[in-house]
Amino acid sequence: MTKIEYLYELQRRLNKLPEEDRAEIMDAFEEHFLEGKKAGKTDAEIMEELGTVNEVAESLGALPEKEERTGTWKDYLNETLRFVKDTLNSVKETGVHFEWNIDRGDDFRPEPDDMTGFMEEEVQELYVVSAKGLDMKLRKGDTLNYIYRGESCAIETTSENGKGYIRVLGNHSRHEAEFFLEVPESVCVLDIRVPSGKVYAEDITPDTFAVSGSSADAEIRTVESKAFRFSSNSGDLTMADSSFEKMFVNVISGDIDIDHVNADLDIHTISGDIDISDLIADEVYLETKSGDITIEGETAILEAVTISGDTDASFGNHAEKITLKSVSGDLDLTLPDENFRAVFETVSGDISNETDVEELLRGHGHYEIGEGTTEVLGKTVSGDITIDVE
Amino acid sequence: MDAQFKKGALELCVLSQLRQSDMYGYELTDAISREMSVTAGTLYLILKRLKDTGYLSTYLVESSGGPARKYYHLTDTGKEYEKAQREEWLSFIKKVERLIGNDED
Repeated sequence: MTKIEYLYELQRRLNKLPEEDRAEIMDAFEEHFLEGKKAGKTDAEIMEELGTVNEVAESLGALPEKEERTGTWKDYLNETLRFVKDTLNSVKETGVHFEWNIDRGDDFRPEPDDMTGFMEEEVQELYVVSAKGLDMKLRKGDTLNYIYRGESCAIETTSENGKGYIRVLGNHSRHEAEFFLEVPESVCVLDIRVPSGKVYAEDITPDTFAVSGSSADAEIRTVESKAFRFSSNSGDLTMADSSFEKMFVNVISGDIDIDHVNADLDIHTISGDIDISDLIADEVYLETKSGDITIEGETAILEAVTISGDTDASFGNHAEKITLKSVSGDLDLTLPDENFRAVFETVSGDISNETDVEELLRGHGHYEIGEGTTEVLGKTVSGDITIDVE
Repeated sequence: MDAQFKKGALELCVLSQLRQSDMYGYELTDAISREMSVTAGTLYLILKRLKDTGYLSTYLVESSGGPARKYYHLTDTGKEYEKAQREEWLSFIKKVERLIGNDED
Protein backbone atom coordinates (compact mmCIF):
# COMPACT_ATOMS: atom_id res chain seq x y z
CA MET A 1 0.00 0.00 0.00
CA THR A 2 1.38 3.40 -0.90
CA LYS A 3 0.93 6.54 1.15
CA ILE A 4 -1.70 7.86 -1.25
CA GLU A 5 -3.66 4.62 -1.07
CA TYR A 6 -3.43 4.69 2.71
CA LEU A 7 -4.74 8.25 2.93
CA TYR A 8 -7.40 7.58 0.35
CA GLU A 9 -8.57 4.50 2.18
CA LEU A 10 -8.58 6.33 5.50
CA GLN A 11 -10.65 9.13 4.03
CA ARG A 12 -13.16 6.57 2.76
CA ARG A 13 -13.37 4.90 6.15
CA LEU A 14 -14.05 8.20 7.86
CA ASN A 15 -16.90 8.93 5.48
CA LYS A 16 -19.59 9.19 8.13
CA LEU A 17 -17.86 12.03 9.90
CA PRO A 18 -18.74 15.61 9.13
CA GLU A 19 -16.45 16.96 6.43
CA GLU A 20 -14.70 19.31 8.84
CA ASP A 21 -13.86 16.57 11.34
CA ARG A 22 -12.65 14.33 8.61
CA ALA A 23 -10.46 17.06 7.13
CA GLU A 24 -8.96 17.67 10.56
CA ILE A 25 -8.07 14.01 11.02
CA MET A 26 -6.70 13.75 7.48
CA ASP A 27 -4.56 16.82 8.17
CA ALA A 28 -3.09 15.23 11.28
CA PHE A 29 -2.19 12.07 9.38
CA GLU A 30 -0.66 13.98 6.50
CA GLU A 31 1.36 16.07 8.92
CA HIS A 32 2.55 12.83 10.53
CA PHE A 33 3.75 11.53 7.16
CA LEU A 34 5.72 14.70 6.54
CA GLU A 35 7.25 14.75 10.01
CA GLY A 36 8.13 11.07 9.75
CA LYS A 37 9.82 11.68 6.45
CA LYS A 38 11.78 14.58 7.96
CA ALA A 39 12.89 12.19 10.70
CA GLY A 40 14.26 9.89 8.00
CA LYS A 41 11.55 7.22 7.96
CA THR A 42 10.15 5.55 4.89
CA ASP A 43 6.43 5.68 4.06
CA ALA A 44 6.15 2.00 4.95
CA GLU A 45 7.66 2.62 8.39
CA ILE A 46 5.36 5.58 8.95
CA MET A 47 2.31 3.55 7.98
CA GLU A 48 3.33 0.86 10.43
CA GLU A 49 3.68 3.49 13.11
CA LEU A 50 0.24 4.90 12.33
CA GLY A 51 -1.39 1.48 12.36
CA THR A 52 -3.53 -0.05 9.65
CA VAL A 53 -6.52 1.88 8.41
CA ASN A 54 -8.64 -0.88 9.91
CA GLU A 55 -7.16 -0.32 13.35
CA VAL A 56 -7.63 3.40 13.07
CA ALA A 57 -11.22 3.03 11.89
CA GLU A 58 -11.94 0.62 14.74
CA SER A 59 -10.65 3.06 17.31
CA LEU A 60 -13.10 5.73 16.15
CA GLY A 61 -14.74 5.04 19.51
CA ALA A 62 -16.85 7.99 20.57
CA LEU A 63 -16.86 9.47 17.09
CA PRO A 64 -20.15 8.89 15.22
CA GLU A 65 -21.02 5.46 13.84
CA LYS A 66 -20.17 4.79 10.25
CA GLU A 67 -22.28 3.07 7.68
CA GLU A 68 -22.12 -0.74 7.45
CA ARG A 69 -19.89 -1.82 4.63
CA THR A 70 -20.68 -4.76 2.45
CA GLY A 71 -18.02 -7.03 1.03
CA THR A 72 -14.78 -8.10 2.60
CA TRP A 73 -11.87 -5.95 3.49
CA LYS A 74 -9.94 -7.34 0.57
CA ASP A 75 -12.72 -6.48 -1.92
CA TYR A 76 -12.74 -3.02 -0.58
CA LEU A 77 -9.01 -2.65 -0.85
CA ASN A 78 -9.10 -3.87 -4.42
CA GLU A 79 -11.85 -1.44 -5.23
CA THR A 80 -9.74 1.36 -3.83
CA LEU A 81 -6.69 0.30 -5.75
CA ARG A 82 -8.73 0.09 -8.91
CA PHE A 83 -10.07 3.55 -8.35
CA VAL A 84 -6.62 5.02 -7.89
CA LYS A 85 -5.29 3.26 -10.98
CA ASP A 86 -8.29 4.27 -13.09
CA THR A 87 -7.92 7.85 -12.05
CA LEU A 88 -4.24 7.85 -12.84
CA ASN A 89 -4.93 6.28 -16.23
CA SER A 90 -7.79 8.57 -17.17
CA VAL A 91 -5.56 11.42 -18.28
CA LYS A 92 -5.58 11.03 -22.03
CA GLU A 93 -9.02 9.47 -22.33
CA THR A 94 -10.96 12.44 -21.05
CA GLY A 95 -8.94 15.15 -22.78
CA VAL A 96 -11.54 15.29 -25.51
CA HIS A 97 -14.07 16.90 -23.19
CA PHE A 98 -12.11 20.09 -22.87
CA GLU A 99 -12.79 23.38 -24.43
CA TRP A 100 -10.43 25.67 -22.62
CA ASN A 101 -10.44 29.21 -23.74
CA ILE A 102 -6.78 29.70 -24.46
CA ASP A 103 -7.10 33.49 -24.68
CA ARG A 104 -7.40 33.57 -20.94
CA GLY A 105 -3.86 32.38 -20.55
CA ASP A 106 -1.82 29.29 -21.12
CA ASP A 107 -2.38 28.29 -17.53
CA PHE A 108 -5.69 26.75 -18.46
CA ARG A 109 -4.46 24.63 -21.35
CA PRO A 110 -3.98 20.99 -20.45
CA GLU A 111 -0.53 19.57 -21.01
CA PRO A 112 0.15 15.91 -21.88
CA ASP A 113 0.99 14.86 -18.32
CA ASP A 114 -1.98 16.60 -16.72
CA MET A 115 -4.86 14.71 -15.20
CA THR A 116 -8.17 15.95 -16.51
CA GLY A 117 -11.80 15.21 -15.84
CA PHE A 118 -15.29 16.60 -15.90
CA MET A 119 -18.65 16.23 -14.28
CA GLU A 120 -21.51 15.14 -16.48
CA GLU A 121 -24.43 15.99 -14.25
CA GLU A 122 -25.34 19.67 -14.12
CA VAL A 123 -25.01 20.44 -10.43
CA GLN A 124 -26.36 23.35 -8.42
CA GLU A 125 -24.09 22.74 -5.47
CA LEU A 126 -20.41 22.00 -5.75
CA TYR A 127 -18.18 20.96 -2.88
CA VAL A 128 -14.46 20.75 -3.51
CA VAL A 129 -12.14 19.31 -0.90
CA SER A 130 -8.42 18.96 -1.32
CA ALA A 131 -5.50 17.58 0.57
CA LYS A 132 -2.74 19.96 1.57
CA GLY A 133 -0.73 22.36 -0.46
CA LEU A 134 -2.72 22.67 -3.64
CA ASP A 135 -3.08 25.82 -5.69
CA MET A 136 -6.66 25.82 -6.84
CA LYS A 137 -7.62 28.11 -9.70
CA LEU A 138 -11.29 28.69 -10.40
CA ARG A 139 -12.85 30.48 -13.28
CA LYS A 140 -16.02 30.52 -15.32
CA GLY A 141 -16.72 27.78 -17.84
CA ASP A 142 -19.59 26.34 -19.85
CA THR A 143 -19.29 22.97 -18.21
CA LEU A 144 -17.62 21.65 -15.12
CA ASN A 145 -14.06 20.65 -16.06
CA TYR A 146 -10.86 20.26 -14.21
CA ILE A 147 -7.16 19.92 -14.92
CA TYR A 148 -4.71 18.69 -12.33
CA ARG A 149 -1.01 19.33 -12.73
CA GLY A 150 1.46 18.00 -10.19
CA GLU A 151 2.68 14.88 -8.43
CA SER A 152 0.49 11.84 -8.91
CA CYS A 153 -2.67 11.97 -6.88
CA ALA A 154 -6.19 10.58 -6.89
CA ILE A 155 -9.19 12.71 -7.80
CA GLU A 156 -12.65 11.54 -6.93
CA THR A 157 -15.73 13.16 -8.46
CA THR A 158 -19.27 12.18 -7.60
CA SER A 159 -22.61 13.82 -8.20
CA GLU A 160 -26.07 13.10 -6.95
CA ASN A 161 -29.33 15.08 -6.89
CA GLY A 162 -27.75 18.27 -8.13
CA LYS A 163 -24.87 18.10 -5.69
CA GLY A 164 -21.35 17.57 -6.93
CA TYR A 165 -18.32 16.58 -4.92
CA ILE A 166 -14.69 16.72 -5.99
CA ARG A 167 -11.95 15.37 -3.77
CA VAL A 168 -8.30 15.80 -4.58
CA LEU A 169 -6.18 13.43 -2.55
CA GLY A 170 -2.46 13.31 -2.04
CA ASN A 171 0.08 15.36 -0.23
CA HIS A 172 1.28 18.20 -2.38
CA SER A 173 4.33 20.31 -1.81
CA ARG A 174 3.25 23.87 -1.47
CA HIS A 175 2.70 25.61 -4.80
CA GLU A 176 3.85 22.60 -6.80
CA ALA A 177 0.46 21.19 -7.62
CA GLU A 178 -2.22 23.10 -9.47
CA PHE A 179 -5.87 22.31 -9.87
CA PHE A 180 -7.77 24.30 -12.47
CA LEU A 181 -11.52 24.19 -12.23
CA GLU A 182 -14.05 25.66 -14.61
CA VAL A 183 -17.28 26.49 -12.83
CA PRO A 184 -20.44 26.86 -14.93
CA GLU A 185 -23.18 29.37 -14.11
CA SER A 186 -25.53 26.60 -13.01
CA VAL A 187 -23.51 26.24 -9.79
CA CYS A 188 -25.31 28.27 -7.10
CA VAL A 189 -23.44 27.01 -4.08
CA LEU A 190 -19.67 26.72 -4.27
CA ASP A 191 -17.75 25.47 -1.27
CA ILE A 192 -13.97 25.11 -1.46
CA ARG A 193 -11.88 23.55 1.29
CA VAL A 194 -8.13 23.49 0.98
CA PRO A 195 -6.14 23.04 4.21
CA SER A 196 -3.12 24.86 2.85
CA GLY A 197 -2.09 26.25 -0.49
CA LYS A 198 -3.98 28.95 -2.30
CA VAL A 199 -7.36 29.44 -3.92
CA TYR A 200 -7.61 31.80 -6.85
CA ALA A 201 -11.01 32.69 -8.24
CA GLU A 202 -12.06 35.01 -10.99
CA ASP A 203 -15.15 35.76 -13.06
CA ILE A 204 -17.42 33.32 -11.28
CA THR A 205 -20.98 34.00 -10.12
CA PRO A 206 -22.30 31.45 -7.63
CA ASP A 207 -25.01 32.65 -5.21
CA THR A 208 -22.96 31.64 -2.25
CA PHE A 209 -19.24 31.13 -2.31
CA ALA A 210 -17.21 29.80 0.60
CA VAL A 211 -13.47 29.25 0.94
CA SER A 212 -12.01 27.67 4.04
CA GLY A 213 -8.82 26.02 5.22
CA SER A 214 -6.40 26.22 8.09
CA SER A 215 -3.61 28.07 6.33
CA ALA A 216 -4.94 28.48 2.82
CA ASP A 217 -4.72 31.90 1.19
CA ALA A 218 -7.38 33.17 -1.17
CA GLU A 219 -7.13 35.62 -4.01
CA ILE A 220 -10.49 36.63 -5.42
CA ARG A 221 -11.03 38.88 -8.42
CA THR A 222 -14.10 39.94 -10.37
CA VAL A 223 -16.43 37.59 -8.53
CA GLU A 224 -20.13 38.36 -8.10
CA SER A 225 -22.13 36.54 -5.53
CA LYS A 226 -24.84 37.07 -2.94
CA ALA A 227 -22.75 35.85 -0.06
CA PHE A 228 -19.06 35.17 0.32
CA ARG A 229 -17.46 33.50 3.31
CA PHE A 230 -13.76 33.07 4.06
CA SER A 231 -12.52 31.26 7.12
CA SER A 232 -8.94 30.38 7.88
CA ASN A 233 -6.43 30.39 10.71
CA SER A 234 -3.37 31.87 9.09
CA GLY A 235 -4.47 32.29 5.50
CA ASP A 236 -4.56 35.74 3.89
CA LEU A 237 -7.45 37.04 1.82
CA THR A 238 -6.84 39.34 -1.11
CA MET A 239 -9.94 40.54 -2.91
CA ALA A 240 -10.47 43.03 -5.68
CA ASP A 241 -13.10 44.26 -8.13
CA SER A 242 -15.87 42.08 -6.73
CA SER A 243 -19.43 42.45 -5.59
CA PHE A 244 -21.43 40.66 -2.88
CA GLU A 245 -24.48 41.42 -0.85
CA LYS A 246 -22.69 40.24 2.23
CA MET A 247 -19.18 39.10 2.97
CA PHE A 248 -18.16 37.21 6.10
CA VAL A 249 -14.53 36.75 7.05
CA ASN A 250 -13.19 34.90 10.05
CA VAL A 251 -9.44 34.49 10.46
CA ILE A 252 -6.90 34.35 13.27
CA SER A 253 -3.62 35.67 11.96
CA GLY A 254 -4.37 36.07 8.29
CA ASP A 255 -4.35 39.56 6.76
CA ILE A 256 -7.37 40.83 4.86
CA ASP A 257 -6.90 43.11 1.87
CA ILE A 258 -10.00 44.32 0.08
CA ASP A 259 -9.90 46.76 -2.80
CA HIS A 260 -12.68 48.10 -5.00
CA VAL A 261 -15.41 45.90 -3.64
CA ASN A 262 -19.12 46.45 -3.30
CA ALA A 263 -20.29 44.49 -0.25
CA ASP A 264 -21.52 44.69 3.30
CA LEU A 265 -18.74 43.38 5.46
CA ASP A 266 -18.56 41.34 8.61
CA ILE A 267 -14.88 40.71 9.36
CA HIS A 268 -13.23 39.24 12.42
CA THR A 269 -9.51 38.65 12.98
CA ILE A 270 -7.32 38.14 16.01
CA SER A 271 -3.95 39.48 14.88
CA GLY A 272 -4.51 39.91 11.17
CA ASP A 273 -4.61 43.40 9.68
CA ILE A 274 -7.70 44.57 7.82
CA ASP A 275 -7.03 46.86 4.89
CA ILE A 276 -10.01 48.07 2.89
CA SER A 277 -9.93 50.62 0.11
CA ASP A 278 -12.47 51.89 -2.38
CA LEU A 279 -15.37 50.18 -0.67
CA ILE A 280 -19.06 50.66 -1.34
CA ALA A 281 -21.31 49.28 1.37
CA ASP A 282 -24.27 49.95 3.61
CA GLU A 283 -23.11 48.24 6.74
CA VAL A 284 -19.63 47.30 7.83
CA TYR A 285 -18.62 45.52 10.99
CA LEU A 286 -14.90 44.99 11.68
CA GLU A 287 -13.34 43.40 14.71
CA THR A 288 -9.71 42.59 15.51
CA LYS A 289 -7.67 42.15 18.67
CA SER A 290 -4.19 43.29 17.69
CA GLY A 291 -4.48 43.84 13.96
CA ASP A 292 -4.66 47.33 12.48
CA ILE A 293 -7.71 48.50 10.55
CA THR A 294 -7.54 50.80 7.56
CA ILE A 295 -10.78 51.53 5.78
CA GLU A 296 -11.53 53.98 3.01
CA GLY A 297 -14.74 54.22 1.02
CA GLU A 298 -18.48 54.72 1.34
CA THR A 299 -20.64 53.09 3.95
CA ALA A 300 -23.70 54.24 5.86
CA ILE A 301 -22.83 52.35 9.01
CA LEU A 302 -19.45 51.32 10.34
CA GLU A 303 -18.53 49.69 13.59
CA ALA A 304 -14.81 49.00 14.05
CA VAL A 305 -13.58 47.43 17.28
CA THR A 306 -9.96 46.68 18.24
CA ILE A 307 -8.02 46.01 21.41
CA SER A 308 -4.52 47.21 20.60
CA GLY A 309 -4.75 47.69 16.86
CA ASP A 310 -4.90 51.18 15.36
CA THR A 311 -7.85 52.24 13.24
CA ASP A 312 -7.60 54.61 10.33
CA ALA A 313 -10.98 55.34 8.75
CA SER A 314 -11.87 57.72 5.98
CA PHE A 315 -15.32 58.14 4.47
CA GLY A 316 -17.32 59.79 1.75
CA ASN A 317 -20.53 61.67 2.51
CA HIS A 318 -22.91 58.72 2.80
CA ALA A 319 -21.73 57.93 6.30
CA GLU A 320 -24.59 57.98 8.80
CA LYS A 321 -23.25 56.30 11.87
CA ILE A 322 -19.61 55.57 12.62
CA THR A 323 -18.49 53.84 15.77
CA LEU A 324 -14.81 53.27 16.50
CA LYS A 325 -13.73 51.52 19.67
CA SER A 326 -10.37 50.43 21.05
CA VAL A 327 -8.57 49.77 24.30
CA SER A 328 -5.08 51.01 23.48
CA GLY A 329 -5.24 51.47 19.72
CA ASP A 330 -5.27 54.95 18.17
CA LEU A 331 -8.36 56.07 16.29
CA ASP A 332 -7.84 58.23 13.25
CA LEU A 333 -10.91 59.45 11.38
CA THR A 334 -11.22 61.51 8.22
CA LEU A 335 -14.59 62.85 7.04
CA PRO A 336 -15.44 64.63 3.78
CA ASP A 337 -16.98 67.70 5.38
CA GLU A 338 -17.95 69.23 8.68
CA ASN A 339 -21.48 67.88 8.65
CA PHE A 340 -20.98 65.59 11.62
CA ARG A 341 -21.67 65.32 15.31
CA ALA A 342 -18.96 63.48 17.18
CA VAL A 343 -18.66 62.19 20.71
CA PHE A 344 -15.26 60.96 21.92
CA GLU A 345 -14.44 59.24 25.13
CA THR A 346 -10.93 58.44 26.31
CA VAL A 347 -9.42 57.84 29.71
CA SER A 348 -5.79 58.74 29.09
CA GLY A 349 -5.47 59.34 25.35
CA ASP A 350 -5.09 62.68 23.58
CA ILE A 351 -7.65 64.14 21.23
CA SER A 352 -6.58 66.26 18.28
CA ASN A 353 -8.98 68.19 16.19
CA GLU A 354 -7.64 69.03 12.76
CA THR A 355 -10.94 70.50 11.58
CA ASP A 356 -12.22 74.05 11.37
CA VAL A 357 -15.18 73.13 13.52
CA GLU A 358 -15.34 75.03 16.78
CA GLU A 359 -13.26 73.81 19.68
CA LEU A 360 -13.99 70.56 21.41
CA LEU A 361 -16.27 70.67 24.39
CA ARG A 362 -14.30 68.93 27.11
CA GLY A 363 -15.28 67.31 30.34
CA HIS A 364 -13.86 64.38 32.24
CA GLY A 365 -12.70 62.34 29.29
CA HIS A 366 -15.85 63.15 27.33
CA TYR A 367 -15.52 65.35 24.28
CA GLU A 368 -18.10 66.61 21.81
CA ILE A 369 -17.64 68.36 18.53
CA GLY A 370 -19.94 69.54 15.70
CA GLU A 371 -23.70 69.59 15.23
CA GLY A 372 -24.09 67.94 11.82
CA THR A 373 -25.89 64.76 10.72
CA THR A 374 -23.21 62.06 10.55
CA GLU A 375 -23.08 60.49 13.98
CA VAL A 376 -19.59 59.63 15.17
CA LEU A 377 -18.69 57.81 18.35
CA GLY A 378 -15.05 57.18 19.28
CA LYS A 379 -14.25 55.32 22.48
CA THR A 380 -10.80 54.29 23.69
CA VAL A 381 -9.10 53.73 27.01
CA SER A 382 -5.56 54.85 26.28
CA GLY A 383 -5.47 55.41 22.53
CA ASP A 384 -5.23 58.83 20.89
CA ILE A 385 -8.07 60.13 18.73
CA THR A 386 -7.62 62.36 15.69
CA ILE A 387 -10.43 63.76 13.59
CA ASP A 388 -9.75 65.42 10.29
CA VAL A 389 -11.74 66.90 7.40
CA GLU A 390 -10.50 66.43 3.86
CA MET B 1 -6.80 -5.39 28.21
CA ASP B 2 -10.37 -4.14 28.43
CA ALA B 3 -10.82 -1.60 25.63
CA GLN B 4 -12.58 0.97 27.79
CA PHE B 5 -9.85 0.72 30.40
CA LYS B 6 -7.11 1.13 27.86
CA LYS B 7 -8.87 4.07 26.28
CA GLY B 8 -9.05 5.86 29.61
CA ALA B 9 -5.39 5.20 30.30
CA LEU B 10 -4.33 6.47 26.90
CA GLU B 11 -6.40 9.59 27.31
CA LEU B 12 -4.70 10.26 30.60
CA CYS B 13 -1.26 9.70 29.04
CA VAL B 14 -2.02 12.19 26.29
CA LEU B 15 -3.33 14.83 28.69
CA SER B 16 -0.44 14.34 31.11
CA GLN B 17 2.15 14.68 28.36
CA LEU B 18 0.62 18.03 27.51
CA ARG B 19 0.60 19.17 31.13
CA GLN B 20 4.29 20.06 30.92
CA SER B 21 4.34 21.77 27.56
CA ASP B 22 2.48 22.08 24.27
CA MET B 23 3.51 19.48 21.71
CA TYR B 24 2.89 18.85 18.04
CA GLY B 25 1.29 15.64 16.82
CA TYR B 26 4.36 13.72 15.78
CA GLU B 27 6.30 14.64 18.91
CA LEU B 28 3.41 13.57 21.13
CA THR B 29 2.56 10.30 19.39
CA ASP B 30 6.25 9.43 19.26
CA ALA B 31 6.67 10.02 23.00
CA ILE B 32 3.71 7.82 23.88
CA SER B 33 4.24 5.03 21.38
CA ARG B 34 7.82 4.66 22.65
CA GLU B 35 6.45 3.55 26.02
CA MET B 36 3.22 1.85 25.10
CA SER B 37 2.10 -0.40 22.29
CA VAL B 38 -0.34 1.94 20.66
CA THR B 39 -0.42 3.23 17.11
CA ALA B 40 -0.09 6.90 16.27
CA GLY B 41 -3.33 6.68 14.29
CA THR B 42 -5.31 5.77 17.39
CA LEU B 43 -3.71 8.62 19.27
CA TYR B 44 -4.74 11.14 16.62
CA LEU B 45 -8.35 10.10 17.07
CA ILE B 46 -8.00 10.47 20.83
CA LEU B 47 -6.50 13.93 20.30
CA LYS B 48 -9.40 14.86 18.06
CA ARG B 49 -11.92 13.67 20.65
CA LEU B 50 -10.19 15.52 23.49
CA LYS B 51 -10.17 18.64 21.38
CA ASP B 52 -13.88 18.30 20.57
CA THR B 53 -14.60 17.90 24.29
CA GLY B 54 -12.74 21.12 24.98
CA TYR B 55 -9.86 19.64 26.97
CA LEU B 56 -7.37 20.56 24.27
CA SER B 57 -6.99 23.44 21.90
CA THR B 58 -4.76 23.60 18.85
CA TYR B 59 -2.76 26.24 17.03
CA LEU B 60 -0.46 26.24 14.04
CA VAL B 61 3.20 27.15 14.10
CA GLU B 62 5.18 27.59 10.91
CA SER B 63 8.17 25.24 10.93
CA SER B 64 11.37 25.72 9.03
CA GLY B 65 11.60 23.74 5.81
CA GLY B 66 8.14 22.22 5.99
CA PRO B 67 4.47 22.89 6.40
CA ALA B 68 3.04 24.32 9.60
CA ARG B 69 2.87 22.09 12.66
CA LYS B 70 -0.30 21.78 14.65
CA TYR B 71 0.42 22.13 18.36
CA TYR B 72 -1.84 20.77 21.06
CA HIS B 73 -2.44 22.76 24.23
CA LEU B 74 -4.12 21.68 27.47
CA THR B 75 -6.99 24.07 28.23
CA ASP B 76 -7.99 25.09 31.75
CA THR B 77 -10.84 22.58 31.83
CA GLY B 78 -8.39 20.06 30.39
CA LYS B 79 -6.01 20.74 33.28
CA GLU B 80 -8.76 20.17 35.83
CA TYR B 81 -9.86 17.01 34.09
CA GLU B 82 -6.31 15.73 33.83
CA LYS B 83 -5.74 16.32 37.56
CA ALA B 84 -8.96 14.53 38.52
CA GLN B 85 -8.24 11.61 36.20
CA ARG B 86 -4.64 11.34 37.39
CA GLU B 87 -5.67 11.27 41.05
CA GLU B 88 -8.32 8.68 40.34
CA TRP B 89 -5.82 6.59 38.43
CA LEU B 90 -3.17 6.76 41.17
CA SER B 91 -5.63 5.84 43.90
CA PHE B 92 -6.90 2.98 41.75
CA ILE B 93 -3.36 1.72 41.20
CA LYS B 94 -2.73 1.81 44.95
CA LYS B 95 -5.81 -0.28 45.61
CA VAL B 96 -4.85 -2.78 42.95
CA GLU B 97 -1.34 -3.04 44.37
CA ARG B 98 -2.74 -3.71 47.82
CA LEU B 99 -5.07 -6.37 46.50
CA ILE B 100 -2.58 -8.21 44.36
CA GLY B 101 0.08 -8.02 47.04
CA ASN B 102 3.68 -7.07 46.65
CA ASP B 103 6.32 -9.82 46.47
CA GLU B 104 8.83 -7.74 48.38
CA ASP B 105 6.60 -7.52 51.46
